[in-house]
Amino acid sequence: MFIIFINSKILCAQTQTRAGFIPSINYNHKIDKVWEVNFKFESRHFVFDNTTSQSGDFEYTYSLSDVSALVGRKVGLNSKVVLGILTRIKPDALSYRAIQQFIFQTKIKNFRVAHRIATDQTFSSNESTEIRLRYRLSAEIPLSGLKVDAKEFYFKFNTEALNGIQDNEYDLELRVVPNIGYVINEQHKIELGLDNRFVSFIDNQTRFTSWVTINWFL
Amino acid sequence: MKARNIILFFGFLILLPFVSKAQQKYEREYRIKSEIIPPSANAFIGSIGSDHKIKWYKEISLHDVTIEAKFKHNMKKFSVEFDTLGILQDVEFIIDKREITPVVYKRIKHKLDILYQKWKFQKIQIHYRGNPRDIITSINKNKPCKSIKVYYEIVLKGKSSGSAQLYEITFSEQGEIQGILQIIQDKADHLEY
Repeated sequence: MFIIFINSKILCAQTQTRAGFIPSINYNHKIDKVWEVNFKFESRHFVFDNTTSQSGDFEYTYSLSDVSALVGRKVGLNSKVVLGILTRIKPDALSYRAIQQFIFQTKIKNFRVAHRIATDQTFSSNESTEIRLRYRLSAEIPLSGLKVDAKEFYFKFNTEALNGIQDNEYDLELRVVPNIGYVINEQHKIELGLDNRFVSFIDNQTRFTSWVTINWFL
Repeated sequence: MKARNIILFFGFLILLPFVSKAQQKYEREYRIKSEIIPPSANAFIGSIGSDHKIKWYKEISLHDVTIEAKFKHNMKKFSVEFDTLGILQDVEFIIDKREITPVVYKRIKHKLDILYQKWKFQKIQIHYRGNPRDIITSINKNKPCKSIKVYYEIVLKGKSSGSAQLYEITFSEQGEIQGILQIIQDKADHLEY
């Protein structure tokens, strides 16, 4: 453990790295057979940051909170179209994001796999509009039995590629998020994960951000 | 074309009770160790003579608790169900639609055309119920004995009144509907949002 800690500290010192935690609450409500709504709240907190020279590397900083509201419509047995809006609240700024998603599910043996193709546009008063095209693949692997049931654990793996354009500059971000989840009952799930993001893959110096995530689905 | 629509309409009226009474299907399966399987269940599976690994599950449905063995045999996926005492309930294995007798297949297809605007097979299983010895003979001969009851259990995606759902429909050996269950799909909000 000590060696891992020392190694990660050396790695963090060499690349632009930030680390912290993101708790989130995700509420999904089925209106009828076809329509559903989803509300999400998450906040970001940093405990390590070597991208700025103003303060020490290890320091707690509140970063931002996201509040989103989405409306989904089932368009097939395992597919849906989702539209919505996200509000990003930073201590000194506010921005809004319009979201459009197409989600479909497939099954590989006992694994449930969801594909999400999405576009979003972020508007704020002090920055140019950012447009992104993203693809996310999420796989759920039951850790007991053929499928995930109540009072059972599962492994969830998310990976996402995000293409962004802002001020005529293209950028690529990659995310890799392993999670361990537990189904408390029909309504509630809790997940603990590690959200790893590699930002500015093209042209700029790559920045690495890692968050411990705690998600509550209800 | 008009006559066909009239036939479909009256057919729909006849089959309406099945559509409106489609009950829901929910199953929960746990993997269990072979050591705790009743000897009679183990003996029956042994007599099928599969070379593949046998996986045992405890299955809890809305109505009962059963023990299920899943394995491959003669290139087919088998599922054999016992009660908790090890008494054989039924044997199922996946077949291709071409393995259903053409006359029966045509009858099934006609009934599905009446029930759903659009439908697509997801899985077809042939279902044997009866004397264990006759079931073993039927499996070995790849043809059901006259003494056993044969059903077709079909999982399909069906679209009616605007939304697609997953159904499990049981047909008799002659292609008559025995029951329709709507399969409850698990929530996937943690994968989608």
